[in-house]
Amino acid sequence: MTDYPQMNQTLYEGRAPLVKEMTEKALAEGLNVQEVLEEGLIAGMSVVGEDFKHNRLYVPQVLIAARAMKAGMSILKPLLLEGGASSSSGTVILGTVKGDLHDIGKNLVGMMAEGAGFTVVDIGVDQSAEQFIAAVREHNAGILGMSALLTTTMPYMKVVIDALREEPLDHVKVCVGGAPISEMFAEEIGADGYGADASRAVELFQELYPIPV
Amino acid sequence: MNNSFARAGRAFKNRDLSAFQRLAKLQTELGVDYLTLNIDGTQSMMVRPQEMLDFLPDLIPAIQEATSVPIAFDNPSVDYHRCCLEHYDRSKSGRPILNSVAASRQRIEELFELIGEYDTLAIGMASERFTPDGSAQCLSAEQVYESAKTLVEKLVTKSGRSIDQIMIDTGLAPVGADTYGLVNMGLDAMKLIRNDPSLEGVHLSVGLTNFSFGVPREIREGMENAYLTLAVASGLDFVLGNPEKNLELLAQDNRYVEVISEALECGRMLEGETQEDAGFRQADKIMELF
Repeated sequence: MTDYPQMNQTLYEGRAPLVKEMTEKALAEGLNVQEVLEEGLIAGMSVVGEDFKHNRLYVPQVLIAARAMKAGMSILKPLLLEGGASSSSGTVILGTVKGDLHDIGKNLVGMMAEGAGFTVVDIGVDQSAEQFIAAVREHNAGILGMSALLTTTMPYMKVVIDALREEPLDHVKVCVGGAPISEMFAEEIGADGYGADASRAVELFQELYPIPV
Repeated sequence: MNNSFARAGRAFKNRDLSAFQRLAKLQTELGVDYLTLNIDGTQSMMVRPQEMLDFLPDLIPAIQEATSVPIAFDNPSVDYHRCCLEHYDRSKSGRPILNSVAASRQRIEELFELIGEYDTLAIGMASERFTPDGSAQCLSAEQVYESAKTLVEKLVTKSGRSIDQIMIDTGLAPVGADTYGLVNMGLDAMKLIRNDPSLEGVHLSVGLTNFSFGVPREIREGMENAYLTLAVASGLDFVLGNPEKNLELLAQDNRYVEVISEALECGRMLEGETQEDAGFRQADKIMELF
């Protein structure tokens, strides 16, 4: 019998092969795909996020847990897509703004957001306003997450937001982050939220666009 | 001196020149060769470009009053560097460093001009490369090495630098979140640079604290020293680091050196896997130090 708390703990410890095996076993037992995703994987990853936030877990541990999450998702994803379970409101576009090639922080946000059940489309570094907007449209995303690591590139976030607001894309929530970015800057440029670190960014996504459970 | 450190951040917030002078004196006493000055915004403090430009004309003479150690100006903006250099008195502290030029810099030609005009040392970020339509991240040691050669060539021809007036930063990523294999890439690139006679005399530098980002505080210093030990063996001769830490080279059988060396070996991609897989394995190994 599938024991979700044990599965959560295994994911927390980052034991990818075992998480994959447990996911397969849960499905073989006839458990619902959505339930396995939420109770088995997302619930485990949310403890990881919480502990990371409180410095009980560190970056390498989050990475290893994300790998375990991925291993489980590799089994569930084809079935979820088959069932048409992915929700458009749960799609996040991530990218680093034009002129800026930094992406380690953004990648961590992507991994944790996937772990929380969001569909993440990472469009990469050095992205223009047109590219961000095209990706939002193409994937019918609910959230746009932008990263910048340089004081010379952070003003471009406002260019993207202004361009987005000129489109009929009012429902899209914009979140920003990166070393020189502060809450005050986020407010000033008209972003909907600011994530100081990866776990805060994911919390923000959840506040702005709760995934219907 | 960087706003993301508490004392420097407070000093900037209060525009407290004497606090900056105390920091400059302390770091001078600790034996630094250059004092890095970065007054960028941080996650807890917004700083507008104009605020920096308004403060620098007071700050730079104040620092120069407290120490004769030259300053390394750290910012991606041309206007920041111009302002710093205009207010820097060469007769007091010698040749400053402009940190940094990189393929992605807006107005990079002006940066090259400024380096020549003010006769500064220069740091070039070789982790980024020039492409026909702009710039991109380097994804192999060979690309970092090629980028280093391009930067040196540009700094020599456009800025009139001699090779030993140039520092190349080969890039350094957090070892625990290194899914592109950037740490190995940087170390391998250092060796390629050191093996190229046409680059003889160029200095190599990295931002050391990046390496231990995201790991428990109590092991950061040991990890940074282990990296330093490996990197110096690969040709590193400068580091942008925190002089208040006990930075030192460790013995080869030191546990940090052993674990970090093994972790970096784990981070090398095997046939049939992605660099991300190898990065996960590297992170896994690092956790042995926790």
